[in-house]
Amino acid sequence: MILPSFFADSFYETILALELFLQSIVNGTIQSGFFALAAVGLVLIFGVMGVVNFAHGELVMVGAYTVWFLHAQHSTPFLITIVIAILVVTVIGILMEKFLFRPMRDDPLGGLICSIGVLFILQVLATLVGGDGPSKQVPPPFEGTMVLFEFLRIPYQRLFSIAVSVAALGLLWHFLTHTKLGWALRAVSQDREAASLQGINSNRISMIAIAVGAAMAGLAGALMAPLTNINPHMGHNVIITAFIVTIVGGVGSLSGAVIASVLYALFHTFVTTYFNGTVATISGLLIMVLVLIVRPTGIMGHRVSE
Amino acid sequence: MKLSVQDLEVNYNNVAALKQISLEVSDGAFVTLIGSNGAGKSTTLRTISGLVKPSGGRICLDDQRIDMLSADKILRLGIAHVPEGRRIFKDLSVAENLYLGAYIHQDKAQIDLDLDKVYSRFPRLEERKGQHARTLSGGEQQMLSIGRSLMSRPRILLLDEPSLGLAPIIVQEIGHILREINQQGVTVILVEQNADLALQLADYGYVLETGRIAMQDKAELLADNEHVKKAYLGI
Amino acid sequence: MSTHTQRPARRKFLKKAAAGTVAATTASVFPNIVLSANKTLTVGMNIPMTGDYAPWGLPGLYGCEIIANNINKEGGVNIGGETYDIKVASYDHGYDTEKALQGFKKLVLEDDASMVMMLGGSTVAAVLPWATRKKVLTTTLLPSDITPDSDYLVATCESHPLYNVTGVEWLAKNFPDVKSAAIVTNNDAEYGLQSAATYQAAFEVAGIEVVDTHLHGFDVTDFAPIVSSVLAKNPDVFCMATSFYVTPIMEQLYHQGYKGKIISCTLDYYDEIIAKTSKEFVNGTIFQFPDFDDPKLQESGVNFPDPAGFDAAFRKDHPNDWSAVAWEYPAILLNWLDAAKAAGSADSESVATTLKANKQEFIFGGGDWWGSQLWGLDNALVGRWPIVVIEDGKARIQEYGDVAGWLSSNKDVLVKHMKELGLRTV
Repeated sequence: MILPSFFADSFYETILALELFLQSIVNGTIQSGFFALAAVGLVLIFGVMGVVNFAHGELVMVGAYTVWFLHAQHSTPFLITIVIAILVVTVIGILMEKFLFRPMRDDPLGGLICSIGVLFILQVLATLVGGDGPSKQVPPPFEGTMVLFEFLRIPYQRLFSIAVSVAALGLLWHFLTHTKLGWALRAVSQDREAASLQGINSNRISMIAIAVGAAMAGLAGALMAPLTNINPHMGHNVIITAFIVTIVGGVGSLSGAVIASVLYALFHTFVTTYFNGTVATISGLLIMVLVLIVRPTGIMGHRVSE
Repeated sequence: MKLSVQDLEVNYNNVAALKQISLEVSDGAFVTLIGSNGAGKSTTLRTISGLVKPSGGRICLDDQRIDMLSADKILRLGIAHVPEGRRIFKDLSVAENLYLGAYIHQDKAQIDLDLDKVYSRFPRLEERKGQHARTLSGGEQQMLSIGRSLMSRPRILLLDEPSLGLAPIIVQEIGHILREINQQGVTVILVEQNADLALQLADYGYVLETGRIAMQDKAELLADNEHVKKAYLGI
Repeated sequence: MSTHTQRPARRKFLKKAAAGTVAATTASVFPNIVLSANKTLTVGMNIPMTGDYAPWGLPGLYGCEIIANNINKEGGVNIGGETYDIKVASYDHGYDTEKALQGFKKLVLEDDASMVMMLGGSTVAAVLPWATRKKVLTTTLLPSDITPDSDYLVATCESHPLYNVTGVEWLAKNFPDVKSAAIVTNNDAEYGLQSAATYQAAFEVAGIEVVDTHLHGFDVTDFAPIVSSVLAKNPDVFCMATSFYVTPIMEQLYHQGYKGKIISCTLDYYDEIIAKTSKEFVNGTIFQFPDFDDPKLQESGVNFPDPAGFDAAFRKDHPNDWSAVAWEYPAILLNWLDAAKAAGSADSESVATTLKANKQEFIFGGGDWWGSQLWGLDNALVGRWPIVVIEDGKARIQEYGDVAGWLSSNKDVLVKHMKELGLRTV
């Protein structure tokens, strides 16, 4: 059968447009995993300790550097380097809590300034370890691309990343909702004093919060390592995204941060695809400002009583 | 367990909030601190439970000094504090709030028994155990706050203004429950602006005025005192 | 281990250390006396050695040090009857304009540099007023830095991005079926937009339709959406005009199953790209920067001494640092030395005059002074430029294109596209 040419053209174009739309959903979903891993740590640390951790993007960067150093430079198996990256970043987080945030407990601004100091220190350390020069690259341990319906393409490396991100977020959710320590953590973030009246040692909980938050950041960095340019300044974009997601989701709300991560990743991906990345970032920041004006508690936050 | 407070002094930014407060609370007693707003009642409770550090004096539980211990350690010694304004964890469920009350205990079986006891005392909490605590009414939130503190198996229970903002009928219900708790052997120290209720419930009372103990006596005698009647009972 | 058996080894070590210390002290106190009797001629490099732009600075310093060492080993260079050893003084401005000016003054005033090599862009603009006033010959890799106000700024090697036209010309000649192209580049006016305009002009001249020009910022962490959106336009050629992000873009092209031609301004660290994708995928990619072990560079007409030896020496000392600029700053240095020899003086004014008066031999041959039609002054030296293609995982020159020739017939098209993107033209 011979189709009229205008029909063939528009049919072909419709298929192309549909392909692009579905591929964008795939692209956005994969992005959302990183956004969420980075943002939940920021939310946890802010919630429990009242400190905005400006060095959070650098924790992600250290995770990525660990994988680059051990896997790309010294051929350690990728999965082992993920575990080591999580451990390294967790230890950094614990040291930050013990030596900076705890002495600054009653001074959130002091804590913030300390975290900016850590940001610079970690950037310099990364330069010392990795040297200067071009961004580092990690060859992807999982090669190849899964092709669905002959047009949707998901590289196995990204499939692995999203699976691990979802699993880690699921574990975190289980920890927070089904374990006593998780309840204690949420209790401290809601009312530190009332929590101490239940016998909850808030120093210990702060340490657990930053350890969990840092571990998530380390994991995000480790998973991103094979997919992005690794350099000492890569944390910058991470923290901006994490701030947007945290504010849109509702400061202090973990579920809000995860939901906002998914929404923002899809939004950013679609705007980047159909307009461009600069428009996407600017409109993302505008949405953040809008949320601050219209609904300062974010999509999942509650108004603070008292 | 005997709680004794001797010459307690507390300063907030160099302003004296408590000046040489002394209390003696024997095992199983029901004691109340009454006084007007800002007299130092809450500060006294907060200092006993370790939220505020004193600048002078001492607090002893039997023979042990506890005034330098942190709040979580003091709870472990058996002193629980139901804070002013309830301070329940609003984004946690009712059941999670209660389990957190038992944070210091590890024995699962006993914790579940304690939970059953709280539920039988406050049946409305059981009906709402899966809900977020923020969805509870004011009275239910106060019950949750009391129930939560009972989960720690306290020997001494400190309560700060439990009647605040509640309907009279609920206030009566809470008063009833406090008496029950005391009859089961828990020492109760109640801070109240509702002096009428407090003196009905307690066997001994202290009157605080501007950070000092102005008067102390058996509760029924205080209720008859002319000054107390005029200043606190509105008679 | 017993201390007894260690003792002789330890003594030997101490002796060596002592000798080394004496030697080092002597060398640092009397460097010229110990090493050579020649006078010293200092050239400055005011370049980014740290930060995002470091790949376009640091490898050039390594390259210049190799060249300077070779010259000094062979007895130095004779200028105006005096023999000099070459010293390379460097300053890391980290692509910061204030530091660039500070570094420039330091190189000229303290190190006594006779000329200063720079990368270009805002850092050159920052030093230009001072350099012009002090009459210090300055070189850039970006001819778009050239202004009618300064005779002392020249671009004698890379004319970014004019040479890109040669790759497109070659592509159109060898793949006549190619009808459409999409351009992706970062959106800065110094590198990205200049290059995008040049590619647009080159495609127009070659009769290839540009179906999409996608500009992106420096904050991109994931190129999946950008590549998806560009590939939806179904281009026959995917063009990376200039990018810090060639590697992640290539990775996305690979994963999203792109099968068409790829042309890129640079393909720095292409072995890493191969590691992230596959050799088969990268093979056939067209770009503009050769490796120096390339057999075509050993042929006559190339004005660079022993390219293969230079390539080997560089990779021996700095195995992972080769980039586009590794040979460009050395080429600039050699070109300047030739002019100084001809002028009989290293004085900026005489060298500048000699440079401009003589028809210079460009590194790849040819060499016309050009630029007044675009930037107001003929201070960019353009000549032949290689078209490089990856063959079996290795960069190989296919042939040389004629940049000056293209410019003379198609300048108006280039000006039109530069204007469209809001770039400065005279």
